[in-house]
Amino acid sequence: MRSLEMSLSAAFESPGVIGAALVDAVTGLAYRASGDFSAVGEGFEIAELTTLITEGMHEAGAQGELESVVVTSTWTHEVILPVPGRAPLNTAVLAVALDRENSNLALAVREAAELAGSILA
Amino acid sequence: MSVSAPAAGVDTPPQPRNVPALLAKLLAEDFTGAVAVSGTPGGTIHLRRGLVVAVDTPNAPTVETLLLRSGRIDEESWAGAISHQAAVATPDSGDQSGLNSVLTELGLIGHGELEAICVAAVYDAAFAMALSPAEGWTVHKDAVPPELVSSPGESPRKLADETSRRIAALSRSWASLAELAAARCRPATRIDPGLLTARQQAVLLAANGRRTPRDIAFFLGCGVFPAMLDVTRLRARGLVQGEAPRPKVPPSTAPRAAPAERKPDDANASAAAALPRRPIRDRTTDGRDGS
Repeated sequence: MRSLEMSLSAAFESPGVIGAALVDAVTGLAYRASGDFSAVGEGFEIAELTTLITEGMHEAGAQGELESVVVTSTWTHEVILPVPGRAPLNTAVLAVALDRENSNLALAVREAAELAGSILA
Repeated sequence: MSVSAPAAGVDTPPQPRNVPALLAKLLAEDFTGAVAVSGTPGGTIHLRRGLVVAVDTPNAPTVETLLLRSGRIDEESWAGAISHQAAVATPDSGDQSGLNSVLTELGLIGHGELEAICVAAVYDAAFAMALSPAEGWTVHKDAVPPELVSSPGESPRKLADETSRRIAALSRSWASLAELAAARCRPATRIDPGLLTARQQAVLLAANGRRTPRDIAFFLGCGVFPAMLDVTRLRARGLVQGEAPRPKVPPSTAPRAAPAERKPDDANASAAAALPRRPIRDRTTDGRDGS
């Protein structure tokens, strides 16, 4: 039985991770955050971004669901992944901030997806 | 043991001027107990070592409502968990986690997911309470906490900041939050469901012209703030319209007493006295007399 904070700490096993948070996809409430999360931004900004993309996709007639959002800036990557397994209307996202110099984006996305799949268990 | 907010003018040490200030003071005191906040409708804030572990208010769904109404746990499994808890609980067990542990041990929900729902419920209930002003409070040191609580608890400062942010976020798109909370919502137009997310579809189906955002939250098993957020976003797209609450004045009704039985008041009596009156005829001198 692991708390959310303990589960989030597993994200730091991946090279280059500098911050991680579990965020409510609708309200933007950061349930728990770990590390230096200032690189990623506030929870409500993450929720607004994913809501904008998700609703925009549906409005444009796209099929399927959002799988990931990757935002790259000069120094950091930000990886945002939907967290499966909750009640359909109460959704969450996992946001991970990475130091670009010390991370492999493909590997980081894969490991973040594994964490997203297990964090609510 | 309980302590109430003192009356004005009583010579006592400076008292917190509002609920956030009170919670900050109780955090400094490492307080465990509850704060009953009076108001419309008010609520109860449960604290463990100064951290907020649960907030109860009639204006927001409890963790139990969130789990059951969303379909995350079915009624039968829930009843089984309650029975199991009653069977294993002993007065001397000293188990502080209670129903949280039972639900996860029975495999009904993951520990992380339950923790997230309990945290969300604390923030949502605090927001719902903040929609109407607090009239006062009473501090209870020996209050019993609810069955499902957030662990270890939420910082009062973070709770106050998040509540302020939520109020500001909604105020940008709807002038009066009290009006938004009481608005009866209904779909404004027909739309292809394929152009909406699952959440938007559920909210639109729930908005039947009788439900307010709070009712929608209870119906769907989600928070009041997310429901209000959904309504404002759907209204911005022209998909939902909210009917303003009716004013709370008693309807005008016709008088039940017959007019003949009513006594005229003074004004009516003086007005009646000022009216010209027909002179009373003396029938004894009536010219129509046949004599």
